[in-house]
Amino acid sequence: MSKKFSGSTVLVIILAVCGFLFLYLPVVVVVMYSFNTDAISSFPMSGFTLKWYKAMFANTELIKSLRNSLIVAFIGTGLAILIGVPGAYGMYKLKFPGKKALEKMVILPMMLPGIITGITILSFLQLVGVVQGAFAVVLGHTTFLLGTVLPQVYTRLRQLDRNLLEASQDLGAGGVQTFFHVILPNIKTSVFGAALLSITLSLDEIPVTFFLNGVFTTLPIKIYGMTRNGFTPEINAICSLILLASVAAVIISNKLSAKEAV
Amino acid sequence: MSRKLIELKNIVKNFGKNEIIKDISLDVYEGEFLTLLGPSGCGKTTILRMLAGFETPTSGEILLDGEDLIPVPANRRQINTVFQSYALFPHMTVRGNIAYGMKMQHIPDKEIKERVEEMLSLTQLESLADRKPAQLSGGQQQRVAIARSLVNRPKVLLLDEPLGALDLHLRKSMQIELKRLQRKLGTTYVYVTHDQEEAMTMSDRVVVMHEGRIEQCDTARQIYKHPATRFVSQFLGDANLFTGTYVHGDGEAYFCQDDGAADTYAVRPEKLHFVPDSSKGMAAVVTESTFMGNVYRNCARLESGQICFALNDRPYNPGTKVKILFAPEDACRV
Repeated sequence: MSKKFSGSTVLVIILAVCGFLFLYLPVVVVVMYSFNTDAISSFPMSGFTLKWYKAMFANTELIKSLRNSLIVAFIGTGLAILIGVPGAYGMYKLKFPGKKALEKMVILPMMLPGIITGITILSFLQLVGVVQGAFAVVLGHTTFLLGTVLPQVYTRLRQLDRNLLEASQDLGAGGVQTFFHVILPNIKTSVFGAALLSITLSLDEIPVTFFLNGVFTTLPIKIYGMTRNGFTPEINAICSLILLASVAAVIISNKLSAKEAV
Repeated sequence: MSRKLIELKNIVKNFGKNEIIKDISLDVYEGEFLTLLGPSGCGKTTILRMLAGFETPTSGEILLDGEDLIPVPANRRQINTVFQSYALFPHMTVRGNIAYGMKMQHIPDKEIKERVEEMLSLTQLESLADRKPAQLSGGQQQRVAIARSLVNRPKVLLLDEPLGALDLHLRKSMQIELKRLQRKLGTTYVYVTHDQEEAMTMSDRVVVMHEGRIEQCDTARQIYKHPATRFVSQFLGDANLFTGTYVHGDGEAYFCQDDGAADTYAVRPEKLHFVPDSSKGMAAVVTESTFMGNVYRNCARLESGQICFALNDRPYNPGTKVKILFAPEDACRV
């Protein structure tokens, strides 16, 4: 190398590497152990195997909780999109007193600790007579997912030239036509990105679910329960799979938002 | 004159406590090119937005073809707008943008296709028809915006400073283009600009606006020759303002400025003559002479201390004592 790094540059690089190791080493370890032949988490690995993945798929309760989680994630996200996108559009299109305050209030659920959201939703659902279970979990997830969908879509809408709305109207389109022909095509990738993010957030959600689930078990709750009765490598296997799906979702979501923001 | 297409009657528009439009009445005739001219904030864009349907007047009446326009929503008006920012739909091609209005009107596909092609050729956009707006230059985007509006055959085309974002050269050629399309299609144009030259060269009639009121409404020629107010005389072209008594005779005129009369007159700089040896006229001393290419810009100080300037075909040396005269018809009381 022709150029020498100065002492401070080297220090920065070392710190950056340490930061990355701190973040990602545990992840790497979990993935590694999921292929370890030994049932006890130990290093070095005693061999390579897929048996924990087989065991995982054979564990019907685990698979059932995964199915529950997926159902909650997809329905919750679907509802959050159905409510959040028109909501964001309304906030963008209409002028009303208190708009600024509402903009801030909408992101509040995202900032609140999950435990608070969980307790408040639980109290509210009990008040209106909804019992703990699948339905309550879906409602709870929809609520906190709205807090991610609405601000994301709203931010994207605010980047649009407001004259597009008027131009569409000027050319004879009504409000609904304008939404589907002009607005939605221009925000669709951020809607899709918000949906992907929502699904990942919902899939690993514990605090809100914990207050609402009753006997309805989602995957994170199930895994949490399993670790309490002794740690088995099939947990590593399912964690690795979820990790893979999450990373894919985040990458796709980022790519899409970046593409649309041009 | 052809018939009235739009009638604005006693329009007032308030935004909160601000009175933006103060009692404006105006008729727009079928097929004319009417320009609303004024500095920013004079209310010209607000008038346009009320015609388009994006704003509702606080009071007053707007008639289109004799029918009340105010209750008609923007998407039901046979009026289209060319926006200053163009507002082309970024996800649609040029062709898609032009077809959009007709699709919203549920015009049969076959007719849409024909009219789009016709408009593409009229605006010389055929080769760009499948591009997206982001792949076009500013001038091309402007042409698409115009085509997208005109293809709907509106009764009135509203243009909100459509050439504001273009460079000088492109602006000139687009001015010609806009006029050509207007003559060809016979569309009524209501055009908003703060560029007085643009207003003068393109319009059949110019409405000069100032602080929410109409100062004068006439042909550019009449406004230039006979400005109604001090504001108009200085906004449309340049003018020297003189206060005094108007004295004329023998085809010459000047002002007597020492008798305390308070009337004000405007005289265009190209109408002022500097005469070195004359018994009549306003005595002045030349202060500056600048070569402008086709003319000289000569400045002189009157005895009152006022500086006036004239455009002449010859220079005068600074310090020269002159008398200032003009033809009687060239002074306009403002």
